[in-house]
Amino acid sequence: MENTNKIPEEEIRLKIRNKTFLNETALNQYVKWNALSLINFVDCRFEEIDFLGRSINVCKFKNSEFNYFSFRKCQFAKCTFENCRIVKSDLTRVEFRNCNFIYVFMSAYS
Amino acid sequence: MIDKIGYPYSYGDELTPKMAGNNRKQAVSYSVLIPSIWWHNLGFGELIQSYSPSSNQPKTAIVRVVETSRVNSINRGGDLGKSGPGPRAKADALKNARKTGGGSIFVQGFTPQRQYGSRPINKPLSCRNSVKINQEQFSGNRNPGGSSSSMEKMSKRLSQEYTEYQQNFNSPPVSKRFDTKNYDQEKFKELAKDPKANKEVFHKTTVDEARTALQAEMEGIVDNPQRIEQPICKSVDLDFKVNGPGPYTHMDVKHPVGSEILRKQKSPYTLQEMANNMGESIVKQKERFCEVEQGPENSENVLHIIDLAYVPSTEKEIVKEYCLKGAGNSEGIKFLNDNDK
Repeated sequence: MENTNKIPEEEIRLKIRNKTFLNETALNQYVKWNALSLINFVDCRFEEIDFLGRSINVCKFKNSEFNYFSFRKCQFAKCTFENCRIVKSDLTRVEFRNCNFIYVFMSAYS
Repeated sequence: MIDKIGYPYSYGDELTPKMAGNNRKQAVSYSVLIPSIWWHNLGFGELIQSYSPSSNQPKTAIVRVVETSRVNSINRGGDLGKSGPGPRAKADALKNARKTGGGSIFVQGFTPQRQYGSRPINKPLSCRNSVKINQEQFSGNRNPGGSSSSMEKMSKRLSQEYTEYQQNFNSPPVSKRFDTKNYDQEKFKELAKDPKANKEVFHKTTVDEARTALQAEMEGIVDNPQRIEQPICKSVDLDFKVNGPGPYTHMDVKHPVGSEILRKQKSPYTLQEMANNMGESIVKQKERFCEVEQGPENSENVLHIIDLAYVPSTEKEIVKEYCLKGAGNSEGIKFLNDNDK
């Protein structure tokens, strides 16, 4: 199968460092076509965000924390989580494809 | 000439110097009074233009309201050849004075007694704007059989996220989408709400799901789709419960996209891979909630509807083929909007 959507390695990625996202609006400015793509989040905090049904493509999350984050029905593709904390978050029906988790603490939402 | 009360002349009377003089006197007094009355009643900065009555022609005073962008044009056409205000204006002044409970002394002073030849007072022209109020915006549509706004318009009204997606990203639409006015608006709103949210939220995803569910019901694919109520929906995370047909008790909706959207989303997958992955996940989802309390009894009770509304016509067949390939068979899978006829 020919891969016509191959992303070139040298493509410049957006890097967001040391930022706190307190609602959907703050994060939605980076959402294009209902997807969050090609972004590196470093030392970021995500609080009480409902991200229902979005696609997250080729993103990296490093030293970041997710609190009360609803990932429900999200589709992650080729994403990396490194040294992250995902707590009190809703992960039902999330699809992770070709994703890497390195030192990630994850606890479910009740 | 027969003496009459009020304006003593009739249309068709021969113009005499006395009549002309009388007309001039009236015109002078009206040219002062009318602008004051209109300015007061309409609240405009723009004044009414009145033409000088000082010419020798006694019936040349023309009264008209200057058009403004704020209100509809109020065009007092008709009796242009008269001096002073016509019976319509007089009736208006009287009507508005009554409605507002008084008005200025100019209005009261001007308010005429009904005269010979004037229009019926109970049918005046109104000075109000002819803006129509859409009651539906305040009370909602109570008509379960139909709606005043189409499903697409309703979707945009409910969800800003949906509107932005359609306007900014899906414009022009990649595919012709089913739309109708013949649907139950209240039911649509119920279905479009996120069932897991504690407050009323309409996401693009949930609005899309509701549209698919109602369309499927109209096409006879499912019976009576309903959202799964809390707290059951937290454990049985399927989109809808249904009353059939056949073995179906639950339903889930998928919205694949076309290759153009995939490219713009910077997805690492091709159209075929995306469709194949979707087919694989459908099989897992059918099994997943079977042993959960109040979930489907077995995988045969779960219907998956793949809505191809976001797939262009040229790619619909590819998506169908690879979805079925990923799923392994077509059991419990139906396609919607799979042709643009």
